[in-house]
Amino acid sequence: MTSRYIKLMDLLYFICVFIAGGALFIMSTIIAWGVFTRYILESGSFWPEPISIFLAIQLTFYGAAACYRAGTHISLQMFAQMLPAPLKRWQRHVVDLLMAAICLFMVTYGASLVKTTYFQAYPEFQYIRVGVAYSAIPIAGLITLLFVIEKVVIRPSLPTAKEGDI
Amino acid sequence: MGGIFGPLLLIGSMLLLVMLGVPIAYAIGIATLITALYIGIPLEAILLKVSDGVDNFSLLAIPFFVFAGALMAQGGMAWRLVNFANIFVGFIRGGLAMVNILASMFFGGISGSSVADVSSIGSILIPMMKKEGYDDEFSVNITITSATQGIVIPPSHNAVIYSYAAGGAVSIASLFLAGFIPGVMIGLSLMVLSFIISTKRKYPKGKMVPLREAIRISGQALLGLVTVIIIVGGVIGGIFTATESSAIAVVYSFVVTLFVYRDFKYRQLPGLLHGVVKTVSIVMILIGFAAGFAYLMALMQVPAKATKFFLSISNNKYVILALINLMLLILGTIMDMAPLLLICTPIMLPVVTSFGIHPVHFGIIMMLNLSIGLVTPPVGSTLFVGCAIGEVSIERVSRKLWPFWFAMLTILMLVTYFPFFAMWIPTVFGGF
Repeated sequence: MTSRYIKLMDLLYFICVFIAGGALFIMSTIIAWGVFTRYILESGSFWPEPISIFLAIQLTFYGAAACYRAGTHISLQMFAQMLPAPLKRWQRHVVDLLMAAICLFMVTYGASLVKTTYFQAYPEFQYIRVGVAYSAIPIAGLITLLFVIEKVVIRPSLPTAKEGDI
Repeated sequence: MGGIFGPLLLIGSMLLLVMLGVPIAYAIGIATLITALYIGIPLEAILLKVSDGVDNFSLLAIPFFVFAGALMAQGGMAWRLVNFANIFVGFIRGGLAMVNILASMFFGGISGSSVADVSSIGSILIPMMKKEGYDDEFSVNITITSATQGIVIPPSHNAVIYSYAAGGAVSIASLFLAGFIPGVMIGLSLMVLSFIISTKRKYPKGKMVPLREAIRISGQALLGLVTVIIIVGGVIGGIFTATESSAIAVVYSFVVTLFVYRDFKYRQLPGLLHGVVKTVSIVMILIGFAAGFAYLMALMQVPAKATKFFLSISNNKYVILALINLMLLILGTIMDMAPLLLICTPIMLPVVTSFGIHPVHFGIIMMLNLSIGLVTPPVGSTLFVGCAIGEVSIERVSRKLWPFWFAMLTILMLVTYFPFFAMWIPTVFGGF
């Protein structure tokens, strides 16, 4: 059961990285294409900008979920490390609980946002519904919640975040 | 909403959560939610602000800058820049230290990240310097402090973050132009310092590079440095937006590293994208939650209250600038640059503009100031990476950091109190 759950999380992690990485690659290509059509073909394309905005939302939320599992979010560990050992364990539990809470917020209110905006289309590009773009919020929130559960129940040694800058 | 408890709850709970070890992006998000519940703002509105925060075309310049920098770093740009810098300064006493500083100046123009700079340039030059007899601590200190040049030297993704945090009213082109002289000043001050230390410790000189060899090396390096011209020239010339020019830089970097340098292979692309995603997503989600945070700050009139507070301390702009610099220096030693830019800019910018300080000038002050924090213990990500590459303890490096730290602080003071250094180039180019 445990190993199956970890395998499932590995798969979800791969999917998140794939979506975010793919979004980044496509965005950089289509925006450059937009410039090419404007200056070389002299007929500017209207679609690279709305599609890029759609992809930026996917990159942000799926990428952030993957970063949680990879433990690469920026955090400040200095004060937590000063705590005595028994308090340190509690500190980790509180952090996990707070992470679960914000994931639940993303799932609940994100789903409500998707529902509200589902039939709205981007003014510049009618083929993409705003709700579909925002679906990344509840889905990535749910995936992050599953990663939190994995960390709490199965692999407490996984780092939550690191100290660092981009 | 006009009371003081709301702002205290927002900022206090955020600081408490950060100190507890909650990832900073989520700490900002949770503090925003707690405060929204307290002041009665619907949580749907907060989520809308979070999504609006990332739903912004101009912000896409950030992932593209990082992507282009990563492509160049993995595609063999770092050692080409090291060889290129060696032509100009390698033959001077302490030549490798000079090469380190100059290569970082060039690399900063491509990457804009001090951590990426230390990882790329440092992993080539620190072992080389140690082998040539330079002290371990000196090698690491010169690498990490020179890496901070990239934070202000254009193009800088931190300038995009600042522009966004300032409400988008500050021109990215002006910030790029304004960062050039302060960045070069840091480089020059470090060069003078390293020359003095090198002469005192009799560090070795390098050899002059023969002309034919120098031409070959320059040709290869300049091909990569065209990325800077594309981004900076495109934005300043008004040909492209920052996002468009950075996307073109990605495509250009891809073509150069894959087909010209041939140091980058197709099969490396998934790994590279994985690394870039892990870097940019943390910034993008941070920006999203910071948008919700800034929304509440505006609703509770925190910037106006902060201005009133600072005015109650002094109405002298130099005193206020000194206070703000001190506050940023302290915050910078424990927190990283992106979150501090996103949190402090909306609070401090109205304060300094009420004293007649230009937002572009203040942006450069903030970036210079916070870059000092990146090399200062207890929390300095650039310091940590440098120590790991140099295989030297943080304590040993930190003990000998002070001359370099002092050089950076001197430049910060000069740029703070003499706006000319930051504002001259944007003025020459016709406005902000």
